[in-house]
Parts: sequence; structure tokens; C-alpha cells
Amino acid sequence: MAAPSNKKKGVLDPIIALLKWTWVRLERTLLLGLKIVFPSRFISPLGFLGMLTLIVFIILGVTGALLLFHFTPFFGSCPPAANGTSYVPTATCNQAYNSVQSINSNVAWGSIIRNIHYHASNAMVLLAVMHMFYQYFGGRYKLRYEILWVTGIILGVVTVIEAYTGYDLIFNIRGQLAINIGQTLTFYSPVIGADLARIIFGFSFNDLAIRFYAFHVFIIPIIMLAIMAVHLPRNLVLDIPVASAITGVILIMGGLFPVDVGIKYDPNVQTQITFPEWYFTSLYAFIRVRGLAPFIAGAIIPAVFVLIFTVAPFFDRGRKIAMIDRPFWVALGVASLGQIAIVTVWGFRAANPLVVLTDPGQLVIDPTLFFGSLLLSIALGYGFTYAFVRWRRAKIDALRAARKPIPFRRLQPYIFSKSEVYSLLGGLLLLQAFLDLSIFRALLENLNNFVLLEIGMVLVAFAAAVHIYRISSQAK
Amino acid sequence: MDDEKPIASTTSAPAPTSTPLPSSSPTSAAPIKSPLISRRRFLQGALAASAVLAAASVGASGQILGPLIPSSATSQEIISWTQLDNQYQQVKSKPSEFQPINYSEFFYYPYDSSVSPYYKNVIARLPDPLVNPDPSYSSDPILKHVVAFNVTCVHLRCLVNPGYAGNPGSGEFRLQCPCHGSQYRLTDAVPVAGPAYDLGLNPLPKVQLSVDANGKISAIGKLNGEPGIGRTQ
Repeated sequence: MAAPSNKKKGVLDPIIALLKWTWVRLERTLLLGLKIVFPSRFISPLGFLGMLTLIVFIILGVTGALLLFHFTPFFGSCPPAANGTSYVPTATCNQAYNSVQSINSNVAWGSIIRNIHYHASNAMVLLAVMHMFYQYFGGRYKLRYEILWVTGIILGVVTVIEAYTGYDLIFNIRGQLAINIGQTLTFYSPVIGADLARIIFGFSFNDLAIRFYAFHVFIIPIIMLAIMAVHLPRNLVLDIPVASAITGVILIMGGLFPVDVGIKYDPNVQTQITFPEWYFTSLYAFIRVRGLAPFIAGAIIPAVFVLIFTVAPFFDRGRKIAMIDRPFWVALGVASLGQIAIVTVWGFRAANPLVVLTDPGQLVIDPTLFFGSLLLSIALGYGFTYAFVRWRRAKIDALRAARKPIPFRRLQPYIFSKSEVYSLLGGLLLLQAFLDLSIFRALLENLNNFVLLEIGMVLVAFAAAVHIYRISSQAK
Repeated sequence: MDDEKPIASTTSAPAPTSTPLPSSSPTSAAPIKSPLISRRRFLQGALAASAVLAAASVGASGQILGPLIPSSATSQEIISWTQLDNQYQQVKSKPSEFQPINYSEFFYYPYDSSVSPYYKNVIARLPDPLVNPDPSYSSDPILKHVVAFNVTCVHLRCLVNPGYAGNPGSGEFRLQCPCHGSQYRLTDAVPVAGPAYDLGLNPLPKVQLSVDANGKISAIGKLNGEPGIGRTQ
């Protein structure tokens, strides 16, 4: 690490020296009991999706803390119209929604922070699921990874519950549908159902608001941190460019697809057909199957699905982790991905996914069609993957038997020339300067979506600059 | 370190078990009967029992998790019969306005609207010739024309609305759920279509009614069921 003495001094050298000084002293603390690696070249982000999930968790913590300043966890009263008059909405009705609406439209930077919070929550669920499947296919759930795996599954489930409590707090009709379903499922759980529902949802809607607020901002995050303390592996990869790019992408998504507040839930106004967030449409599809009891559809089936993944390391006892040596588990993973895709998309659609939804009666799914297509996709997904993996294995074995080399590709890294580095970095700096100016302009004109989009682009440009810095500072 | 550990444990472990053995006291003539329970087992058992008792001392503290339940009304005036009947008589002859929503009223009971939307109920004037099938109401000249139900759908707790089955004005008056299409017969709130019917769920909870000499209709007592619960546990 010691720099050769003949090296020219850079502008950043004192700052880097200060950072190193701090870093060495931090090694006396608990923080650096974790071995954090800053990779000096690009490595696939698939390998550190977990770390990216943690970074998004931190973004959620920061933006969530800012939203706390303006959110009112209170439902209020919604009296119906007096006899013989038409209904007029009251200001006391659904104050939680009113406060979210004021965050979105009145509070300075409110809509920006809320958009980041919303898109980061989606990103966190997505990254957690991707992280899980990457580790699953990579076979990193057995051979002393068992505790990491099981805590990871628990953490994933808790993450989804955290997202659930979050979007319920808005008390729009989508949140209301989720509250209704959650409460029904809890009430129908055997023996302790009624007591559990009282504890989780409270008695009144004001109880519900304050309880979900407590769950969402304190209890569940604390539980997540506690599980993370066990789940974090000792070796972590903190890749600044990728972390910055992910943050940028979240902001860009917020700018391109700004989230609205939804339709206010008011018990005196007839509700509309609505769908849950995308990570719950799969459960919603099951709940809508005709004749399937809600508790089985919304609790037992997902629990069995999660359980199969949880116990995978205790049944896959082989010493080999490569995909090609685990045809059964790889095929199981592909089949389950297919199931998730089908039920998630179906959850957004009418009973017949090919027609447009106009009437609530169309939501009820025919069980024969639904389970038939699920079974068919399991059979196809499992069968084809299993056959493919076995075929690859046989092919490699044949090559090995014939003592022929096994072909594989390797990409040579591209090294920038000096002029390329200068022009690229210069261009990025110009782009950032331009974007900063237009952020300022957009702020003045209250164009919140542009602000988000442009901050996101600045972060992506920063990621590119750091990446160019790190690969070029090593080249001779 | 690891090599020494088992040795240390083997030297210390037999010591307590060897004491009760008769061979350790060769001077006594009769062998000592082995005790009912060894000292070690007794100590461990006592420790476990103590831990359980210590935990039990705060076991009931979980009650703090329970919500505060507000006091419920025991009776509440809803609407006068003349007003309810007038709404019906006015629209009866006009097909375009003969909508169930025009001769029914919503009210909150036994908790007010600040508590929960799940305690929202509907009172409806039954279109002739329908009469309330409840035997306790069928003799009353007013209440036999009136029904009142909680509107929380027992399928997934959306709030149902009065409406017609099929075409407007078809005459078949039902309570309909806007979320998943469950339908309840108006006279007794039994599910007749949609998921609530497919699952064979209970009817909507009924509000008990009484009427005074001036024709004021009131809700009395408790609902005959928990709102939103369609299955007896």
C-alpha cells in the first residue's frame, strides 16, 4: 500500500491520507470487525447485492426520518351525511392521508423525499429477492452458510412486512385494501387469531394508525438491525461506484415515475377496484381464487413456499455448489421463479389475465385455470431446467473423458489511454456542472420530478467518475 | 487449549457422581441407597424452575399490547319511520330514481365514526312486498318493513353498498361489495353470490332495532356478530 517516493503528489493526497489515518484508528472499533473491501476494479454487483440492499436500507432510514417530521399517524372521524343530505367530506376524516398529501404537495422537498422513500422501498424488496436467488443458484446456502441463509430468509420476510406497514400508513384505498386483507388473515389464524389481530391492528382505526407507525418506524427496523447483526458476513464489499449508481437509479426512477398519493380512503365513499403493491400481487392472486379460504391462500401457501427455501440447506447435503452439479435444486429455483412471475403478473389482472377489468366480479379467479397453469409451468420450468443441466454435465464429462479443454470465455479488461481518461473525466465534470445548474433552475420553478431525475443523473455520473479514477489510477 | 479441555473435564466430571457410589465409603456395612435424584439433577431442576418462575412473574405484562376498547353505546336513535318511508314512497314510482341508496341510510353503531369504519351499518326500507323474516319483527307494523346490517363485508372487510342484482331496477335488492363482488340478500344479509357465497361465510351481523311510539327507530344492544368475521372460529 505504501506509495513509492518518486510518485507525484496529487490534489487529493492529503484527504486520502486523512481518510487512511481515520481508517486505521477505526480498526480499534467494532465497526471494522467487519472486513470492508473497496474493490479496485469492477466486479459484478451480483456478488454484493446484499450490501446494496443494506445501502438502500440506510437511504430508507434517512428519508423515513425526514418524513417523520410531517406525518400524522391519526385517522380521525368520518361521519356519514346527516339524514336526507348528500355527503360532504370532513377535514377530520383520514388525517394520515391528509398529511401525506401535504407532504407531497406543500412541504418543501416533501415530494422528492417521499419519492426516494417509495422507490427505495421497491428497490430494497427487489434487491433482497435478487440477492436471495443469486445466493441460492450459487449454492451459498450450505456448507457453513446455513445461519446466513436462514437469517437472510427471515430478514427478507421482515423486509416485506416492513414495506407492508409502510404503504398502509398512507391510508389511501390501496393501503386500506391491504389493511382489510391483513386484518382478515390475522383474524382467521387458528387459536390466537383474534388476540393477535387486536395486538397488531388495535381496536379503532386510530389504534391502527399509531400501531403501524410504531411498527414501521421503530419496532420492525430494530428487529431488522438485530437480524442484520447476525446476517452480515464478516467480509463486505463496499463498491462506491455501484452504490452511487444504485442510489442514482432510485432517484431517476422517482423522477420518471413519480408516486402519487392515491385515492383517499373515506368509508363514506364507495371504494374502487385497486391492486396491492407489486410484491403482494402474488398473494392477491391466491386470495382471489374461488373457494380458497383467505387464510390458506394468503398465509399457508406463502409460508410453505418460504419454508421450502428455508430448509433447502438441510436437504441439499452435497459438497458441490456449482449449478451444474445440482440439477434438482437449480430446476427447483427456476420453477419457483416462474411461479413468482406468473402469480405476480396475474395478481395485477382480471381473472382472465387477457381481458380488461371493468367489474369486481371479474376478479375471482377460476381455480382450475389458475392451479392448472401453475402446475403446467412448474412441470415445464422444472423439466427443461433439469434436462438442460444434466445435458451440460454430460457434455462436460464427455470433454473431460476425451481430455479436451473445457471452453470458457474471459473478457480482457479495457484500459483507457491518458487522453481518453482526460476527455471522459472532463466530459463527466461538465455534465455534472450542467446538471447542478439545471437542478437549481428546476428547484426555483418547483419542478420536483426534474430535480429528482437530475440528482439521480449526477450520482450516476459520480459513479462513472469514481470508476474511471480507480481503474486509471492503477494503470501504468 | 483444545487438547487440554477434555482432560480437565474428565477429571472434574466424575467427582460429583462418584460421591454417592457405595464403593467410595467402604467402612459402612450396608450400601447407601442411591438417592432419588442426584445433586446435580436437583440443582439444574431448581435453576430451571426458578428461571420459569422469574419469567412468569412478568408474563401478564403482555397485556400492555392490548388496545384500549372504548365504551360502546347501548342504544342509539337512527331515523324516524316517516322519513325512511317517505324516501321510499317518493322514488317508488320513478324508475330512474328507484335506487336502493335512495331509501336506505348509513349510521355508525355501537361505536361512533371516530372509532372504526368497520362499525358502519345500513338501515333500509324493504321494498314491498318484502318483509323482515325475523319472527320477532314480523308482528311489528313498522319494523317488519325495515332491516339494518353492519356493512363490513365478511370476505375481506370492504364496505358493502345497497344495490340491485343485475340491471338497475331489476327489483332484486342486494348489498354489494365493490372490492371482490360479494353480494348479500337484503332481507337477511345471507351471501348469495361472489366470494362470500363461494366460501360459505356467515351473514353480515344484524343490528337489533326497536321503535318507539313516535315512530323513531333505534339500534339497541349489541350486533349479533363481529364485523368482518365470516366464519365461526
